[in-house]
Amino acid sequence: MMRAIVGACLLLSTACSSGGSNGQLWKLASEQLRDGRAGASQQVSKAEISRAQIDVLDLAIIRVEAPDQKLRTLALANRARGNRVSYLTPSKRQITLKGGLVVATQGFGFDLLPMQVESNDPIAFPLPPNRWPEAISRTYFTPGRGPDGQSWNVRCSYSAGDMVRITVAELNYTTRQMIETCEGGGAGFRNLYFVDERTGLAWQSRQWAGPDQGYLNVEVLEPLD
Amino acid sequence: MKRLSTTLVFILVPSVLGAADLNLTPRGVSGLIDMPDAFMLPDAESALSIARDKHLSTLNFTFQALPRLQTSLSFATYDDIGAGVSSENTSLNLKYALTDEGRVLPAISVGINGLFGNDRDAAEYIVASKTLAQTVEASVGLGWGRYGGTADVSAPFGQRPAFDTAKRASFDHLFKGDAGVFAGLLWHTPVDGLSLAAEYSSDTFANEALMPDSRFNFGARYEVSEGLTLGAYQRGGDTVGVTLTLSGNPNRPRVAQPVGAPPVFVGARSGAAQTWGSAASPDFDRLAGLLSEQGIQLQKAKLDGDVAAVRVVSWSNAAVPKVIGRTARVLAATSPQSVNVFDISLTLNDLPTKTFTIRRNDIHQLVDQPRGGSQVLANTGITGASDRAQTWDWQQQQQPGFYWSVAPRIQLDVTSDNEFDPVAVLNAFVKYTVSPSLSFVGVLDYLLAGDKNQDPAPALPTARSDNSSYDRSSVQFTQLAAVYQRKLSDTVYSRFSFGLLERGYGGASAEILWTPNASNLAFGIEVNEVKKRDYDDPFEFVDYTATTGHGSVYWDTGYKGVSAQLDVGKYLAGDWGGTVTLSRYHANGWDTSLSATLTEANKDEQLKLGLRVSIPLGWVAPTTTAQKSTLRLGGISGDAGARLNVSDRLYPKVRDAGDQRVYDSWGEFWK
Repeated sequence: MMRAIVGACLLLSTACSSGGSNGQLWKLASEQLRDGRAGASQQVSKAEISRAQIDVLDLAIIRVEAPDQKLRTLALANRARGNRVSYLTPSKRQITLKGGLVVATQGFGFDLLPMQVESNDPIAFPLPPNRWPEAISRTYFTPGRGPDGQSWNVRCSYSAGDMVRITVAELNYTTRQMIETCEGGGAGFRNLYFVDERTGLAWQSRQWAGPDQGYLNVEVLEPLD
Repeated sequence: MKRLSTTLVFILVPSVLGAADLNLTPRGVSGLIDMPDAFMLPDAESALSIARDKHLSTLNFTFQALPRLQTSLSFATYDDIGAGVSSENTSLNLKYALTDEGRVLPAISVGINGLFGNDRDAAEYIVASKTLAQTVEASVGLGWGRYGGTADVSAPFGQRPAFDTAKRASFDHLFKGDAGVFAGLLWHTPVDGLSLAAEYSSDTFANEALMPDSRFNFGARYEVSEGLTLGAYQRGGDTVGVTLTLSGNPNRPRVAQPVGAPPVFVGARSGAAQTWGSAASPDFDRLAGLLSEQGIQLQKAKLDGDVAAVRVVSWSNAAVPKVIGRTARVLAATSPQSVNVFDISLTLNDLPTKTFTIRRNDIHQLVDQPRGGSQVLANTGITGASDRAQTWDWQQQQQPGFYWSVAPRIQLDVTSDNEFDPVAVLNAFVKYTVSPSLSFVGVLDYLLAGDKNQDPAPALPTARSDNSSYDRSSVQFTQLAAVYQRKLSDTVYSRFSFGLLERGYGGASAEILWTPNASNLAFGIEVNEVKKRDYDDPFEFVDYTATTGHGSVYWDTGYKGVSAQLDVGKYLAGDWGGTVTLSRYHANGWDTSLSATLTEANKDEQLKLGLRVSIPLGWVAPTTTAQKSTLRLGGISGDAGARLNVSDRLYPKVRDAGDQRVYDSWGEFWK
């Protein structure tokens, strides 16, 4: 209902204008509706890909879901610096992973600016779960006042859960469920990782990406070699 | 005086606002029913609320100005006229949080309703509130003035002086007189969005023809949808009223940020693509194309040794650092290897503003690095950009530009005749730009719906109070003017406007603005020679001329986006005085400002208060347009302190490039 009202107001308030802003507005609005609330089923189908298609693509690929934005999409690796890999979605949203950790996003609702991690962070520098430290520190940055935006310094501790069998893009993995509890700087959240016991790679995860963005669900369909 | 000044203007229908479950009193203070509580709203929370019962109509704008300071501007109209008090009352209300709520201790706040006036709504209080069992908020407080009517405590700080509505500002009544005890409970019910309240009031309605049967008031509020809350209350035993609240928060946009093109990839410097040629033969057309993909228009460019200098403009709502950061990324990724320094000048509203001198290596080394933004800023030189003729290697072809827009505007006169009179106006804007310096602007307004009655022309024209004498039945030529603007030096801007400047006046307006480098201050002077326009014929004038002018000081305080402006000079009615404006700016373009005007013409009246809220369209819609909606309350009509409405003043055009705003929004550099 509110969405419809917003749309109507939008139409009213920009009834006509030169410079193309009106057309751009409607293009963006329709994209928003298609990617988001109105077209969830379409979007789900857009985010599906078969193993055969992945093999043909021969590219690192992940699937990202932003539940608060009702957005689910595939993203292809388009650049790498060290173990920081940036992925781009078809609608030009960008997400950067360091190891298996989401360290920056753009366009998934509310941006996450580049994160500061320690060298012993077991998600950013994957380790088998039995070698994970008791706790690590991280600094999240979100858009805000000042040169680096708003910072969220958190201390995170870990607890191991059960062994869980998961399926990602038609492949089955036996993973250890790891729970990461983070607190500090006015933030508190709990991340969830399904981690390969041998390599430490998180094939599936649910990660906090800022107070406004909330959680992102990430599946690694094909990792970068 | 007919209160046409209390006119609400909003371009967007208010239902696009959106935010939290709010409980506001009929005077716009967060609280129970009539009584305030000690809680603050989320920082920057903004709400427009209306309350109505058989004795009282109010329109309020509430703004959580700072985390511990809540403000509200309330326009109240009473059906009856009490002895020695006003039937219409404008009050500025403040509530300050002394302590936050703890595990055991309650939140404690102190507040003043009607800061400057000792009128019927004047009240002071101290209140404590505590959350119980997560869903119940209990409050108890002690009030003076309107909140002290029950006289439970006999004048603890001395006697309160009698009402004095003629005094422009009085403070000797604060916390004086008998005090009343009030208390209440607010229950957030299991029904999502529904809250119920009961309170023991200390307001005896002594100045109204209302004899309360009971000190107990009851109320209910229901959040119909995000940002829209309806309420009903019963107070004094037999008075039933309704409330409507629209709310939003600059920090919580209603929609996700627009995506746009992702920033270009910047790798190691050795791998830069040198896409736009070599130092010997640069291809700036190619560079213009690369920047265009980022939504940035290249206006001028040159290569001078190891310096690549460009002047760029962005027509989107992107913050200045984002435009600079995107430009720097493109230059780093594509410039010849010989380039070590980028001089990026930014044009805003056809005026060159600042030049950002950035080291290329910083971009390569700090891109995508945590805290990389502050490190780049520390190494970046920021100076005024010049409009003087320079030797550029490349310039964009200047073409005359034609811009137009047509949009409705909805007005709501909330206190005139004690009725809510909605008015719909169709607004057409046309601008023909001959060059970056010279443009012609036309604005037409047509009243689509509302009261088209035209009052007779007054025997003697007045500065502003004769607004209702203007013809509203046909298309109005609100503006038809030539505007010439130019930068005189690196830090001095100038403007000259001539023609029909606004619906009420035509003539000439000249302005100079000085924005010193490395300063949060700016200084302006404006002089206007105008003649009053005819009430019917848009191209005729009546026998009323005015020479007005102001000296202005602008100060960006650097504290949570708060800025201050002081204008001192001569107003349209010939009265000398000053206007103080306090604003809070948010990086996404929200701007809330409150102004108070005092001149020799209203020295025996209450201060003229005005409120203005600018809401970027990008906050409510997935768009990158820089368009904004504006909401205004008060400060519009009346002769005292009336100022010429010039649409092209310089400071609003260039303030986004001010040092403090650039610093505040530098977090967008890598975005």
